[in-house]
Amino acid sequence: MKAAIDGNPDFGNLWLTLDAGDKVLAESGAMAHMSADVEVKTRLMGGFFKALVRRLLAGESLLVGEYTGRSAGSRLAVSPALPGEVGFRDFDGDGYYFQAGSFLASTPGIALKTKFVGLKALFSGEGAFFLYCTGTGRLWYNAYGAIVERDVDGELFVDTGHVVGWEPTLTWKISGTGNFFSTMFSGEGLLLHFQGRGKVLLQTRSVGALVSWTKTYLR
Amino acid sequence: MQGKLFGRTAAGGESCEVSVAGACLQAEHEEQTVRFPAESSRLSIGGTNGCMFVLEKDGASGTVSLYLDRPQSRQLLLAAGFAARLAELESAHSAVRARWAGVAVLVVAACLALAFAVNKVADLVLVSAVQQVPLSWESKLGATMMSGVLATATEVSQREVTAAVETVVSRLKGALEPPRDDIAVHVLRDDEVNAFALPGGQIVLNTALVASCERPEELAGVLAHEMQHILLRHSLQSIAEKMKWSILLSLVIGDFDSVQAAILGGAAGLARLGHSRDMEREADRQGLLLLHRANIDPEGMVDFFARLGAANRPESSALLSFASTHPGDEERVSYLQAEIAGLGERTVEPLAIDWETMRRMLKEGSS
Ligand SMILES: [Zn+2]
Repeated sequence: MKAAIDGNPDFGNLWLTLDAGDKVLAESGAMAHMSADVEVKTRLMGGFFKALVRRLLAGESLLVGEYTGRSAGSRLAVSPALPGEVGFRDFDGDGYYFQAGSFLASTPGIALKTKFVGLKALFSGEGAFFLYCTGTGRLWYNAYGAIVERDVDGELFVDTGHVVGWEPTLTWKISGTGNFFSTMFSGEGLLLHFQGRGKVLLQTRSVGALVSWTKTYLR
Repeated sequence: MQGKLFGRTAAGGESCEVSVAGACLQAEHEEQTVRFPAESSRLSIGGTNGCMFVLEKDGASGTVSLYLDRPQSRQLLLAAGFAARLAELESAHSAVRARWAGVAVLVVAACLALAFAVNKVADLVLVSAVQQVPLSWESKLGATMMSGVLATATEVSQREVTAAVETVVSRLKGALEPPRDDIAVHVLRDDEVNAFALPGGQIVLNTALVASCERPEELAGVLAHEMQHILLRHSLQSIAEKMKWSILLSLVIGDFDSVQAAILGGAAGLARLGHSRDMEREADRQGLLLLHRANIDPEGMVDFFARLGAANRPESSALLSFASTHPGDEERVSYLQAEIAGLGERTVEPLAIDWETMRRMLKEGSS
């Protein structure tokens, strides 16, 4: 398999060239175009029951597409819904957490597990599930805006809308800046409070902020 | 095994190979070795959702930390002399978990209690809502359903049969207070022993059921029971009850298309819809009172249900379809008998029907 990213950092796009039998998983609906010799199957992410709960609680997508090359040189383009950078991470038996919406594509050696992170996160508007990825291989993720990596040594507060992913060495909890009610009902001011040592991936724009900004024009 | 080392250089975590060296855990990275003695290192649980052990020690250039995946590194830590600290950490951690499990149990219990309360309230709302449905609307629904039934069935027109059934029906109708002239009985040619009431006054009797009655009082018992289903508006209640769950579920899921489908689907398949046990008992009890007022021998109803109970065994399937919605178990027979014992004295007037001739006509008509 060969992979190339173009369009970064504004409109990142992933190009994959598959050999016969190569498989890749991609976010359902992100496939932009492909050659006729790519076979597509749809799979449930993280098992049926979990997928159902996730759909009910968080309204998140249940499905990932599984693309298989049927001959050498099968081509596939995967484009995220949001404008922004596409990045990748190579796994060597280690693990990493991603915001569920940041997943773009991965090679088959990587196990994708959904982790429920608590009801409080539901109100953050970022979904109550994170993706825990382990194994060996490569995973591509996408961001809204550009991707920034930060080293945490001690503590870091991040607006929930700006988180793309983080290393499992970090502990996190959700904390609000306002009082309980403003947090519950506006969903604003929710912060992910990271503690420990490790890397955090951030995006320079947040969908929540865009929605709030757009709303001021819809009145 | 693999670990992640922080604080040795300014850069982020470095992957390292971890092993035991005496009373130390040592981490090797690019031919450099960092040792964490059990004596002087701090051990804690950290990482996302507590998935890691964190080992820290203070060096000349700040704190150095080693992160290890929890389940896999336990043996190494035990071998390196961290047993006491490990036991302390794990018991504290499981105490926290137990507390959260307690909270989870409470939350689930609260949800169940809420669901139970919602169900009770929904039942109350449904019962009063059903009473608000105008009779004309119910009749219209029943007529629509009846035309659906008649589209695939043949109504019996033999005069001996219709006259016999009519005799029983009019005796029962005469005892209804207030009178109801919208009750109509249809006899359909069908080999299944079955009878059912549609909303608004339509009663369907299958020929096999009529023929299986050994005397007209048994048929009167079945009809009195079905008439009470109509008077008590059980069909509407059963539709509402059946829809309640699908509506609640669709509201929870937030899928309003399926709410609509539930409302439409609730009316479909009503002919085969069984009523609740409570409704059956109520229809039995009120049916007996009706027989009593009409001066019909109430033992006919008991005899019919007793035979139904005897037939309600796998080897005899002819009676099964009525039996499936009307369990004729011994319990039913005994409470029917208790009810009869409680009825006042009344002179029974026999139904003047040549029943054997009618049964013969029915059998001839079906061959
Ligand atoms: Zn009944």
